[in-house]
Amino acid sequence: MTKATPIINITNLTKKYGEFFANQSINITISKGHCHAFIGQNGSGKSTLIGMLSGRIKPTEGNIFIDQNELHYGDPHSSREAGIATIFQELTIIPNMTALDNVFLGFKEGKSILVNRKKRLERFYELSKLLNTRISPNSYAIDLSVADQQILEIMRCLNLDSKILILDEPTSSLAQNEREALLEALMELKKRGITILYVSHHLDEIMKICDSFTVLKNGVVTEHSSIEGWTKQKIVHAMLGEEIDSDFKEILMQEYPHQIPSEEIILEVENLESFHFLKNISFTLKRGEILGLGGLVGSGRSAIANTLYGLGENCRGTLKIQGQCIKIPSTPRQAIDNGIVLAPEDRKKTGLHLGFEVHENINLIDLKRIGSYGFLSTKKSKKLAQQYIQEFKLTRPINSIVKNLSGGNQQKVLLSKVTSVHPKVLIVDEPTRGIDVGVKLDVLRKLKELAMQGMSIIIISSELEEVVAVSNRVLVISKGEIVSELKGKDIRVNKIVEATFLEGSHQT
Amino acid sequence: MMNKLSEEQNLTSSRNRSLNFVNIKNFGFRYGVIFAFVVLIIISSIVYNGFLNPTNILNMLSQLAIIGIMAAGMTYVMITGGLDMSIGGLYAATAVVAASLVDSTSIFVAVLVGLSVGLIAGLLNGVLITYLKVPPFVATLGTGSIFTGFALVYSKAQPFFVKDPAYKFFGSHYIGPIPVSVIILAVIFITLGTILSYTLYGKALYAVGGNNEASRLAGLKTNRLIISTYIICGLCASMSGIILSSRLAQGQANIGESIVLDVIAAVVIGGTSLSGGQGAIWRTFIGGSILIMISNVFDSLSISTYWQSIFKGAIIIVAVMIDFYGRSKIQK
Repeated sequence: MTKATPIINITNLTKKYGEFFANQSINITISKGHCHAFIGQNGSGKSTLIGMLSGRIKPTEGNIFIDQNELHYGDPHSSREAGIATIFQELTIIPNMTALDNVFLGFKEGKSILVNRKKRLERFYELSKLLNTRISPNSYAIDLSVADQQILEIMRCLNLDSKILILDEPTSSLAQNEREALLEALMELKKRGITILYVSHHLDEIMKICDSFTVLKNGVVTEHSSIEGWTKQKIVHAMLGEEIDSDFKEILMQEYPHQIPSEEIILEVENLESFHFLKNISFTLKRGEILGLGGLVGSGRSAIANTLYGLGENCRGTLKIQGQCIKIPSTPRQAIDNGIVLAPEDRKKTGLHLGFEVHENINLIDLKRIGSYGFLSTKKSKKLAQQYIQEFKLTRPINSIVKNLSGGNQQKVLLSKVTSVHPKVLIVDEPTRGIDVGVKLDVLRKLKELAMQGMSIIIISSELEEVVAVSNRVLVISKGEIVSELKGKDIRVNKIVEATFLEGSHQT
Repeated sequence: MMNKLSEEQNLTSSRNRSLNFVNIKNFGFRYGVIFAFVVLIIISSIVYNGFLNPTNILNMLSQLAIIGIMAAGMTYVMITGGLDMSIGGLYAATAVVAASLVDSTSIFVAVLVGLSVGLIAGLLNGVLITYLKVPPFVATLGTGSIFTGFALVYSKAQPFFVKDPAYKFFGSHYIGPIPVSVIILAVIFITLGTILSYTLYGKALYAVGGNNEASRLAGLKTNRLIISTYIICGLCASMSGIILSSRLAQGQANIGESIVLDVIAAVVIGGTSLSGGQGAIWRTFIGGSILIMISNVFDSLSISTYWQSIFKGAIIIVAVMIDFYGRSKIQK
């Protein structure tokens, strides 16, 4: 291996968003030719750190040195000049162009306006050799596997003489054998002295290819070390650190000590399959119970919610509502008629009609109730909406255009819309995303109150503290399967994270 | 801290001010077409003395009938975010079919079969677009060609002449001073306008056009709603075909070629959005009237139809520009 000379030197790097520290006093050194992993939960500050390296984000304080030269901050172009290339999860490969054209996309050779195909081919084979791959330059990108497309993207970066390659979750959309191929290509690159910064949730991969790692938690480095002598378990524990119960949990425990599910089973899911992704999903939900779904983004949490709401594909399995077998709904209408509603993840795109007024939005879920003989009664619409939203304490008039409301108020509109049909099962996907802290608590309080009124609730949130604070029981989902069930005192952020990172590999 | 507070106050007050400004602008974008309509009437009556003469007005309205009825149906389709390019072919096919049946069966049967053609064609368009997921423009361009071809095959490219003088009722007769076609136009506009603006069904159409996915998640049967608009559009196109064949006392296969653009122009000039979710039947009435008025005045000044075509094209582009510009402003 090459001698460990530092190539990246980060000192005292801090990024503040308002009063919030996304990254705080980061001090790390990364050696040349190393593969360095960034590990942490969702929201731990990995993306911010990478963003600052790739020049998309300007740091508030601190310095980044690449080969002793300070980086020009907040300028993606100069990051590129400094030899840093970033490959994001969403590929920028153009499907209808050949592999060759994709690699040389946006590349200018000298002053000639003509393409020197021969020269490009030579370079293409050079790069292929570097990565030890055999992609035909004439094949169309659309016919290549995702892994090969990713390799094309890496080739594109290498063509620009990048010294440092940042990969953000590169294997998340790859099949197992594709993963291996990509990892091998990365190993090859390491041998050639290229430094790789690797962001991944897959500890197996990290153990395999990385030489060193940094663990981030709440924007702070909690561990920075060579990988020698570390096990997956040890890394997970480094990620977790000491757990502090969130304020939310305490507040909700005090305010709603009597929110206890009854014994009656409302929803029973058995061996549910969908999207060719979810497998063996079986669980029950009791009356008045709040069930949290934990797991990473893309683990299948939202897929479960969508399938129950009639948005699944290739569904199989049985569904029982209050003991009665029902067909897996194939449209949202069927789900609603069966007493299941969903407040979708993306409020603005799929949850609400932004150009419509508050009362119209609330009543769209059941237009019939605002009609008389098929005609629309705006008066009725406003009156009913006023009733439904009263409990949610909307701070704006009922005829405001939803587009002009704050995120919190929009969420209140969405929740009063879906709860207005008195569902048996309410599924809320990311109910607190993009909402002020104060309003967040209001939303969680509301969920507790609804549960006390006998509604059964499934909550999905990337903010694990909130899942922990509000849930009576938590299922941890990973790679489309339920990997763990947490009850009572086990409902803790640490336990969810542990299950997420470790259970998946136990099974295989 | 104090600084920050006053800064915030400044911010909100300036935001309020700009909000008012935006409101005025919004109002302009929303109701500008009425202003344009009135201005056009004034100018027209100045350059053409007989413009406001009742006979001329009724004449214009009866010219409006054919395009207007089709445009009313098209408004439904466009409010849900669709487009129907097939109406020209359908209009011709209906004219041919209806004209061919009048003398051999009865007027009643001819009209009924004619309207059924529209209904089936609309259903076909709707199913292609929703369940089979063909983009509206392509699907209806294709079916339009099929309908035109059908009309040609069915008529062997020869006109069907209608001998029964009673068939002229729809296109050329009057009730009192008012042409029957104008009465049909009025009934259709009032009915479709009322349904769109005042019923749950109408509200649902706006919802689908405004945000299809959110509507589906709110439990609306979006596919059926969209299909229904294509059926209404098909029925309207067939009604126009019947009126035309009645007016000419013949059915010909080559009549539908350029009418689609006029119909879309009427809808767009009125201010119904090409991207769905916004619009109204009264707008289409105004849009269609503007088109008819322009050609009426141009004719009276004996300006050639070639110039009219150039002028019409320019207005459509301006109307669409206003639509997009207005929307992007409003969104800010």
